[in-house]
Amino acid sequence: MTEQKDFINDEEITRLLKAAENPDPIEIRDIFAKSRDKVRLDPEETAKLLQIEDPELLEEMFTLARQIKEDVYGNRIVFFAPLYIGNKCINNCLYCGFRKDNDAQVRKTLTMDELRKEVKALESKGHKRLILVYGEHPDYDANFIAKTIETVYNTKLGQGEIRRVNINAAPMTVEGYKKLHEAGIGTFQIFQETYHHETYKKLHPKGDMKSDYQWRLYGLDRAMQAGIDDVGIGALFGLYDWKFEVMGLLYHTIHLEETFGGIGPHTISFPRLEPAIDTPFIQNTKYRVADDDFRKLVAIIRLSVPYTGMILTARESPEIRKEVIPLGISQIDAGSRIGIGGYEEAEKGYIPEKEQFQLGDMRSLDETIREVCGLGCIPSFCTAGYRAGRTGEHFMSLAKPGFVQKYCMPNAVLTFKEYLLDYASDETRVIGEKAIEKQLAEFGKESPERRKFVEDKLKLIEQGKRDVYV
Amino acid sequence: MSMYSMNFRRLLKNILSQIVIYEDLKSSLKVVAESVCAYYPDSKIWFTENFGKRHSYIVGAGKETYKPVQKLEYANNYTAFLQNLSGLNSEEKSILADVLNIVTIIHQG
Repeated sequence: MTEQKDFINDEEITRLLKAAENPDPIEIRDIFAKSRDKVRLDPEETAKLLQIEDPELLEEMFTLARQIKEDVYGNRIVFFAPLYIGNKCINNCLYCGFRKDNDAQVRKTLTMDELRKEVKALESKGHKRLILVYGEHPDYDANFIAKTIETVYNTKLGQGEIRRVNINAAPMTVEGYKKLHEAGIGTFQIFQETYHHETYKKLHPKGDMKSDYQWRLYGLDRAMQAGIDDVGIGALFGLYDWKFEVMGLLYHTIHLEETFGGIGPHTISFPRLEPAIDTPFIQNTKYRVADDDFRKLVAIIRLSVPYTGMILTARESPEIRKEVIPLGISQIDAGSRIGIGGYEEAEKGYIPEKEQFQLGDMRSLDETIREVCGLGCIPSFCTAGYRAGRTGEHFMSLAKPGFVQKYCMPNAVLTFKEYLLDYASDETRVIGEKAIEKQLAEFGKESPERRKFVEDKLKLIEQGKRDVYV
Repeated sequence: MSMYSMNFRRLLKNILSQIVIYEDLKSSLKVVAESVCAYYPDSKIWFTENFGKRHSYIVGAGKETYKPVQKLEYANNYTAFLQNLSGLNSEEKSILADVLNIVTIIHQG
């Protein structure tokens, strides 16, 4: 059967990138102005940003990326943790430690009891948001995933609870997605891995589910059709030319916006390939993304889609995270373990035989929070949006003009206060209280009523009330 | 003296005359949202269908003011969020909830 054309036109992307070489600085600054107005860029414009080499323009772009992120979301950084449920997989993705033929992997799926223990371990650290990760396997069907979502939501430890469960799993049918929607999912995330058709074909051998590029590419369309109106896209950088992948992410965004009445992706992820056990492909690829290029691509995604959440994971080292967070990042994970059952075993350290790849940042949540405060940001555990109907079209109506921070910032302060009272070390509590005080002063500059509004809510938390949000 | 203001009674009349025309829940709720915001300027109202913790947006109308929001759980798994609607007293909100419940029952299943 002949494949239909899809919305990723490889020749067109290559042509645009070629045509954009040596961009005119005046044109680049016009594009910066468009991003500053929080308008999504067109592919021709993003292609030009991807070809910037001038150090002065790059510095301007990095500064603008931070400004745009703060205009839309404020200076808060949302924290989450990944929770790997099972590493069984029927696919043979050449770059993945979980691939079927990798005999070095010990295959494991958490039982519901083990899952509860993992969730309690995460709650004991202060986490409120999780992304559950599953291999692609018949055992991990929609019913199983829905059951794990329910188990996570129902597992509580003292005042601790998980308030938002996002999912990273294989693409499903509309009927499958409906089951997850009914279980109260947050965001459904699918990474295309690479948008380049030929590379995709090479890396995903025929005979497994993942070899079907279009089934995956339209996976989030089906999620939206099923009513899941918060979806996350991503590419695994290092499989093909990083500039091409950024263009792919932009085309995917445009496709979703055009198909679903302006609702684009809720988040964009851009993990870089990391070493994994017995996975030689990673050592041999010529497309590994250098740190300088990584900084550029993060800033360019922020300018290209100014209103979309951007996730930087603990794959990256603490040093890189510190440099890249100010370039437009809105969400990070911390205290992460990616082994199956890894949180319970965390005290024992790294367990490579069960992991999909190697983490770059193994610091605790508490330590990472301190550093984020040091960057002038407010750590946030906010999960208010999807519990207050700020999803899909409604979320976009607030994010696109840059209004959503009016909710994000108070909720960041309120959830951070909870963290400081219930989980923080003494050192973090001191630094955190100062950060909150500084933020209250900022609210006061906007209006004394806004400051008082947040202070009144903070008092409720100090008196013992939890899950206070606006 | 009626506990319902003239403005509210006009709003009700307007809503009830229109909602029967539409054949789906979203369109009917849109009429309600737009009517409420027309009768109560500077207000905002939106409706959600609830799945566990998730309140999935259905439709809404009005101007965002970032003022505190009141939740009105008017039917099983459906909620209205009211912002800057202090013009409605509690009895009127209760009637509005009844109307929304009826709209939902009509269009369910």
